[in-house]
Amino acid sequence: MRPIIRWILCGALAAGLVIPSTIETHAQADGSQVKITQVDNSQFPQVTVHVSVTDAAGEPVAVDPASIQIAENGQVMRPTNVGSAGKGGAGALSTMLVMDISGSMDKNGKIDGAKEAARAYVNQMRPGDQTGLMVYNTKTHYVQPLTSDTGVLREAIAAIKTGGNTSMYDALIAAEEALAGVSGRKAIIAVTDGLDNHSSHSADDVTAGIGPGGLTISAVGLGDATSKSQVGLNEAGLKDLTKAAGGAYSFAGDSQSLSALFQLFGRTLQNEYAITYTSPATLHDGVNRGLTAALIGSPSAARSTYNPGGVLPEVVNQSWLLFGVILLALFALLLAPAAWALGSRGLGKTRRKGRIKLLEEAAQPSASLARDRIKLK
Amino acid sequence: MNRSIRTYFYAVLGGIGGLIGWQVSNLLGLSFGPNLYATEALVGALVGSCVGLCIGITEGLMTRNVVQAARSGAISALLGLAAGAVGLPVSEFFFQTVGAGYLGRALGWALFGALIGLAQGIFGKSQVWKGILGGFIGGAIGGLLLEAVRSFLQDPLSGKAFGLVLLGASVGAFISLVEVALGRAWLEVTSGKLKGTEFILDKFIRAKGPAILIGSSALKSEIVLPDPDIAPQHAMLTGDGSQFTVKDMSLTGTFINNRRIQTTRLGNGQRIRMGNTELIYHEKR
Repeated sequence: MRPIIRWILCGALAAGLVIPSTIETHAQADGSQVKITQVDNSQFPQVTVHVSVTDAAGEPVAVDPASIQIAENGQVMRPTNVGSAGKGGAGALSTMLVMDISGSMDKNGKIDGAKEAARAYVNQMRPGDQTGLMVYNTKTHYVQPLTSDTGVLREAIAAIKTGGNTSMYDALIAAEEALAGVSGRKAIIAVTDGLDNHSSHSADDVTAGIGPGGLTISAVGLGDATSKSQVGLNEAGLKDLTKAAGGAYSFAGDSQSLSALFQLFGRTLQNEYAITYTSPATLHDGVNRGLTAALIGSPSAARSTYNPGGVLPEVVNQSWLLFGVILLALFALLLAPAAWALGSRGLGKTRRKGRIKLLEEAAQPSASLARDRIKLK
Repeated sequence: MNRSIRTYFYAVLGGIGGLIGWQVSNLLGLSFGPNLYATEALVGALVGSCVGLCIGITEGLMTRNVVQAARSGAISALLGLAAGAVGLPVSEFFFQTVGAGYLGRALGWALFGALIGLAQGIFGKSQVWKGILGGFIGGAIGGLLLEAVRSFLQDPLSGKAFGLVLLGASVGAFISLVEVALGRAWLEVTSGKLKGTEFILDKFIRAKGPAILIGSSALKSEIVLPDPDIAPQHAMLTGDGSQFTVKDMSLTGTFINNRRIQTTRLGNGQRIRMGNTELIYHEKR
């Protein structure tokens, strides 16, 4: 993205003008939550909605996929395909693990805990799932591109070393770019133990970089949440970012809880439901579509929006009559000044004709002409 | 033809460009290919060339210079084609990234307008950045108007039609407005067929920059005055960074404040006479 464009976008975001796809969730009476985690409209009018159902503790809950109802602009959609953990899977999962390796991660065994958590995540990968690894300090290092080879991933995790400052937002942008060409369910899971103090990008840049294919960003904080020093966490910022990106934020006080959180993220992602339907409004008209995911017979529901694209709105037909009428009107406007001038002249306005006579020439025309004649010779 | 009329013609012709672009995009749609961005590159190229062509011919039409209209129109159409092919998919990306709506339309079309303005700035007599700025503002306001009209009119077809006409008009009007408002030096024709016409000279004021020729031949001069008493190449203006020097190249003479000159520096408000046409040099400091 060009700096000037990014600057304009950031300005708009900072001004609070940008309205990203909103995701709202409503808890069921028993505490379970339905959540729309990703909307993939890259094959529009075919739309795939990824839905997670979790209990109050955030653990995935198995439900009958047929009980999940998707509505677009209030109209219930008939699914053309439903994928779930118990029915062939919700499709391959592509995850980018983004780990903080700044100097502070070397303290209190944090980096060892983070490595252990990453290994735990890799251990529960299913066949077909892909995971990649990015680490960041002052710079972002793309350690391991997406792969299904768990052995390669374990080696990459073992080789991680610490040092330098924290540039998490830059790393998240790099992770988004790495996942841009990947289809299906995509997720980024980040680990950090401090404030971002070195990024050239902001949290708003990260949200804006998600793109129409969608992905979620979840984060785990490893720092001291109560400290106000530079080594403390920006928990509010991380919560806002992960909420806007459809993910979740959690705090881990030790390596055991960090590993548990990574495993929970993995389980939740693997137990999502992927519901595909064909939108009845097939035009790229640039109008936002409201999505609702609900469990039949339950008040639990989640809302989101997507846009089919169409900065130049697509319409269903064309009209030569309308084209001709507007064109005639515009030609009339084009000729109006000339007609006005002609009308003014007809009403008696005089028009000066002929060559301009200078004062000098008017007084002594022969002298002026004679002078020019001499020069010409 | 004063400054207001200049902007008026840019707006009307920009509107005609937008209307033609509307019909072209309606005939093609956006769903003829599997990838939205690829189809938008093609549609954007056609819409961009329509708007570019109409804005490009404006200066030539206003100054009754068919050669300039044809040359500028053709080049602007080509640059508009490239601008549209790049601009519409990129605009689409921004449109979707910021969540559509008014802001999405404004940002998306501002970028498109800036690229059309760039095309105009490359061939026009004002600096390129002024074309970009004018196109950006015009595109942003045009995008807001497009969204407003589209939302106001229940019929998507007519809503898009009026929206695109206003978008083209806005891009054209603001390209002209920025050139005029930020203009540093210009010639105003005060007699003859082009009375009231203004020729902006900004691009030529810089030292060691290109000279600008004034004459009656559209093939040999940049500023063309339809006057039989003016030579095909009558005088030449050369900038030095802050002022222009005028050099007579004719047999019949060039007069500054009624005095025949060979080479002299121009000052604000001075009257230049060539043949039967009189011009006033204006500069803003």
